[in-house]
Amino acid sequence: MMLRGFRRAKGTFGVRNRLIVMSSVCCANSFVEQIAVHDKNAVPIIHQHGCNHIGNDRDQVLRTLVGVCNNPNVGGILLIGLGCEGIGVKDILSGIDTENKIVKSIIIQEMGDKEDIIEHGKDYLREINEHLSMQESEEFNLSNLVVGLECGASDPFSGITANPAVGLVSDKLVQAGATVILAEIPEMIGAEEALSEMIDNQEVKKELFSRIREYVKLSRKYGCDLLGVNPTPGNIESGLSSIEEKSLGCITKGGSSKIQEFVKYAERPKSKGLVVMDTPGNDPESITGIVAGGAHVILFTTGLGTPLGNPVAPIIKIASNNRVYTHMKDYLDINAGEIINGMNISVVADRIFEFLIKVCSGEKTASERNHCREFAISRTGPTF
Amino acid sequence: MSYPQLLKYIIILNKKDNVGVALKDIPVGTYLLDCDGRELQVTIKEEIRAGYKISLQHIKQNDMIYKYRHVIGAAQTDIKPGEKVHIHNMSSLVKNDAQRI
Repeated sequence: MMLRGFRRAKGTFGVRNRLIVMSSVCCANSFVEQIAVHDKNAVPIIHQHGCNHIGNDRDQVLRTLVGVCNNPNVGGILLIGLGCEGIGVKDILSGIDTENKIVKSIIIQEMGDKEDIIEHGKDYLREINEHLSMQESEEFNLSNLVVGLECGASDPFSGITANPAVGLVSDKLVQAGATVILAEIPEMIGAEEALSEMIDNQEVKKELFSRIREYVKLSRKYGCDLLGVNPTPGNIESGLSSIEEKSLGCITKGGSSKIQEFVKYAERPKSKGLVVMDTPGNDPESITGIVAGGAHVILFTTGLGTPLGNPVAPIIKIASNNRVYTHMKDYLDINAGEIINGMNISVVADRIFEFLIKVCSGEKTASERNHCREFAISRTGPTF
Repeated sequence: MSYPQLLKYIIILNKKDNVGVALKDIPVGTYLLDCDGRELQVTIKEEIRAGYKISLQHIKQNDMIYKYRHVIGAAQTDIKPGEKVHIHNMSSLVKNDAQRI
């Protein structure tokens, strides 16, 4: 199947031609906002990081910022830095592949004058917009697509309607040669036997299981045993009988394919097919990492509803039940609650897939129409 | 007298599963359930709430319970077709002990 998109580096294509204005460090956030406000196309990306992290933590933050810039949906970038920050504009620039992408930057401490900074920012935005408007979309194969999966604000129906329907979509994407990223490692705790059957590569199995164990140990260190407390009394009250069942309810979004690779947070997968990324269960952090890993679109299942969006990737919201689809209709796209009414799960899966193709062709999701652009980088260490 | 099909109330997530999940509350009553090619009459004595599991087969004590084609626990007693399956008659295989992690 062929789609249309914007050519980027190394044979990748974007389904959007985003112009992002991004801070390299928290201290530059206000200038990002004050410059981006002058252009209705510009998407501001601000965050709370960029300095005083060390070791793996610094690597992870840098990898995420670079990964967001390298996402194929991004066509133009204006980076705003302070100058003295630990993760500088130069560090980010050196990681960006600029083929078919226009990148500009401003360093506040170098320019100094506030008016100069704003005017330069506006000039750069004009230049980037001119460049973007000249780029035409081209055909590309569905096998180039990277789709991320997330479940958030779940309810007892999430694991029996929306997630299994997404699982069928994942299977279809994998069969077409595309890449599907499953994540949220804490939501895999207890499902190791099932995961074992989904992984042939022993190295991948070893790394993933080791990471699941680390999350359990970490939770105990901070006073809450994620293995011991699940399923919670609320889960049990709603019919979940074991932690295996609860975790499988989440993992089922990934479908029935074998897991090919386990990648770090914000790392771009090398494999096609189903891959797992090391992200926490926290939705903004998980999605930020998946998008930094190159995801074009996110399939997000929800039982209670959430407006959550992303600055770079459209998020398709799939409701697990009819009540939330009506009550939170402003934030949702597809109703998998129809399964409760008797609709065949494969019909719902077809609807999700068809909408995914439309979104890739330019149709906006609810999260895009609402201008929801949450961005949160997952950290592993303290700030010094 | 024709009884309603239990299948209309439940979802079976994978053909390997021996439990289905109620999509709607299942009222007390008699239902028909296709079990191993035979149509059984099943009596639901206590309302089964949406989200709860129902056995699709004759499950023996210690048999594995399958949902999403994977094991989610083991039967603690014999379980008849149409019977509710939950923490009162099945348990997790994942042991929460310090040595395991």
